[in-house]
Amino acid sequence: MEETSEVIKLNSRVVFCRVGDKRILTVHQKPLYLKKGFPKVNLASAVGKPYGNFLLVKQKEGNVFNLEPLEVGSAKEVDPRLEATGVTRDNRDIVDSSTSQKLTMDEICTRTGSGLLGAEMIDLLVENSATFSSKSEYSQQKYLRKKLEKYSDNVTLMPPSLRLVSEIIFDYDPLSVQNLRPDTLAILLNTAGISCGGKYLVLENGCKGLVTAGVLERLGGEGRLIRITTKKERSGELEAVEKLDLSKNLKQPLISLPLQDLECLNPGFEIPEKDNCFPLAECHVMLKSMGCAVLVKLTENWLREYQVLPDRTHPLVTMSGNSGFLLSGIKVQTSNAEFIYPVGDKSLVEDLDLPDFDKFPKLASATCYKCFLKPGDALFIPSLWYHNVKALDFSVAVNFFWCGMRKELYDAGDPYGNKDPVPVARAAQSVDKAVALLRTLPPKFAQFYGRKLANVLYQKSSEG
Amino acid sequence: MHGQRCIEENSVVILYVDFKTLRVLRVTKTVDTKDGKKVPNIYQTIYGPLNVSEVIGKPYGARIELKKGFVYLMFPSPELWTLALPHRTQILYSTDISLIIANLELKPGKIVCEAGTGSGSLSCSILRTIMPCGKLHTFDFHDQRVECAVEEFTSLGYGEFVVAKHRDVCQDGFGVELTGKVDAVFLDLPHPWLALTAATKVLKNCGRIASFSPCVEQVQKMCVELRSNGYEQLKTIECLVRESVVKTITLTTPSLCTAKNRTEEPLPKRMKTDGSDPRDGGEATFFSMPVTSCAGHTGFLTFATCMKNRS
Ligand SMILES: C[S@@+](CC[C@H](N)C(=O)[O-])C[C@H]1O[C@@H](n2cnc3c(N)ncnc32)[C@H](O)[C@@H]1O
Repeated sequence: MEETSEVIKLNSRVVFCRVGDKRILTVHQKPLYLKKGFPKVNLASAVGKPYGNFLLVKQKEGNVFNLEPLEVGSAKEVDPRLEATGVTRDNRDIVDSSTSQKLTMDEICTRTGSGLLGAEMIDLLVENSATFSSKSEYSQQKYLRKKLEKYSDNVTLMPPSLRLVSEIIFDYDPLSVQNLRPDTLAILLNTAGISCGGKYLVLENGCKGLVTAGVLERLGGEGRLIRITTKKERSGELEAVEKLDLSKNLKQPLISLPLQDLECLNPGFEIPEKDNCFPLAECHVMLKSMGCAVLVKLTENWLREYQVLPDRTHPLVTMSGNSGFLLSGIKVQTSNAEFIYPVGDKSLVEDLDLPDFDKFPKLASATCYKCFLKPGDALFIPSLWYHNVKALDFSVAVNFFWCGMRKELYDAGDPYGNKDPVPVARAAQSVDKAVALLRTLPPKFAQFYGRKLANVLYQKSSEG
Repeated sequence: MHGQRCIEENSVVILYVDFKTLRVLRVTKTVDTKDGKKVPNIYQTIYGPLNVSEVIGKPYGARIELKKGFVYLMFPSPELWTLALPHRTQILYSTDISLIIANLELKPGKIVCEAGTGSGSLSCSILRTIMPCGKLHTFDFHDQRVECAVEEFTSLGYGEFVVAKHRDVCQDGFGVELTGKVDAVFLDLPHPWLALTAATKVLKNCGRIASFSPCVEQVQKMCVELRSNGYEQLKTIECLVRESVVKTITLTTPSLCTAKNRTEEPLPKRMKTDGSDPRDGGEATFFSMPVTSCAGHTGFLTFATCMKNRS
């Protein structure tokens, strides 16, 4: 495990936050051009300093700003004026005029000489705005926000975290990650129970690697994350992982595996996320009918954010209406007998390497254990376990069969004990007779009574 | 914890009876009767008695046949624990818990403070996320709750990653030994702002804080105090889950053939799950709709970052 260094390092990534602008940048030696009409910022000036608030300070040479640490209390993420409890004004006195700003843009620029203003200059702007005091609170906030976005000299630098990375990617374009909202990602990671040292499988399509990044963060460098890829990975496919700036050690659990290389899928948890519920509804029905999972749930989540200010607390006026859908369940043991199509002393499935799932759909739910045997190895196969052996090379095998039951119960002509025991073979004949009798009924009745008798058979044979 | 695949003596198991009935089962061969005798541990369920010593050696997820049905032996994951645990207080549920873990930026190795411990519902999720190098310091001013929590954490296998203490955090703080060493603080208290000075003391620069309150008045007071204590990036949210019920239905298209003609056709082998007659025509589709009743409010979650003087 490693400590995230608490000071900003050269060539590391930082989350850069300014009013209305949150993004991930790499701390380069060279000043960085951020956006149109905005001077360059020299991130390297923050190297060696702890994360937190900074002030943009203009340098003598060129239109470049350095970062200087700001002490707590001197920076305000919410402008104090936005918080002041004011009597709610109405807008009856507002006259729309282009001359409401008494200071012209030219004047502003000559005063700062830079195009960037501190808090005092924003005060000045407000004082010189003829209409500010008569604006309604909501429009005052909007006005200030716009001015701050343009002129604020306050910057916060934070270490990248999944929380910030997922917010930044989602806010930039929710559809680019198929609406995988940060709260949905949070619920997904917890429901899947990701923790250090675990083994997980992720099949993620078009979410910019957010799920992969989340699992890696919670693995803490130990365990395994197998990422199933369906096509050739494009660059940017793992954007979230890159933005998270994970060390080599933390990325070490990740391996990619093309889907076509997968032989057998046996997931412990199934947690697909989708932005519409129909494919998941289908999976839900399938999972339930196979009986291989409990607590199978299809959910969505409703998230509301609040503005909390004295006397002015209310939900934000816009919210995301689509969280995507989550399907979850916990795998439980099923009896393999239901899934492997046993007939006589064999399974009907001929080719276990390339099983015909159309013909044997239930086989997908069977649990399969594989191992390679080397010369000298012995393998113990408990009774009632079906097995399949494939010789990879010329080989000789010696089998020994232990009789767990009394000798006379086994078929005398079957040295391996593969065949049904004698009483079972006899019982099977009685079952054939019973089936013939049931078939004389109309189909609906035959089916009903067949089930009834099967239950009796099952119940009574399990009893002491 | 990941290596542990089989149930051992003294393991804790969540007994899955049906989707509404989850029970905590402690695996012991015998139990003590009132008059101090040891008798075999038999657990009664609606499907009949379960002889507890029989589950030893079974893998988690195993299905156990009982007289009148079957139950599953589930691993006590924090999510199942939250659904089955004995309530000593109001508890937090999985949706709020997920958001707390994510917004506190928890991951292996983090140092966390929590008050109050309550029934330990949140604590288990925190522990799973920060193990094996992190540590949870959890506090409650109710003596017995601390005692029960310690016992449960130990039997769930979290013992070495948690320190649970009996303390009034509003009066006595989180302890000087933690000053400036904590990555995240979580408060589920009636007056969370009274613990804020203590929280600020133990948090690292850029550490995260979260507070859960059912009422908006508490949230308002907390936010004022957070701002005046140098916290930034305040965010207050409310999150609810909506579960869907899923069914297969057949949308019937009116057919011109009369009911009489129809009965000539053989009955299909498999009936549709909704009981409709597929011979009415139409296509089977998957149908989902939200459940008719669900939680309408749990509480508000407020998150913030602690900005410290760095000189
Ligand atoms: C609602 S419960 C917490 C439930 C917990 N989050 C869970 O999920 O199980 C609140 C707890 O805070 C404790 N508490 C209240 N005030 C406290 C204080 N000043 N110091 C320590 N604990 C306190 C109470 O005893 C109670 O157990």
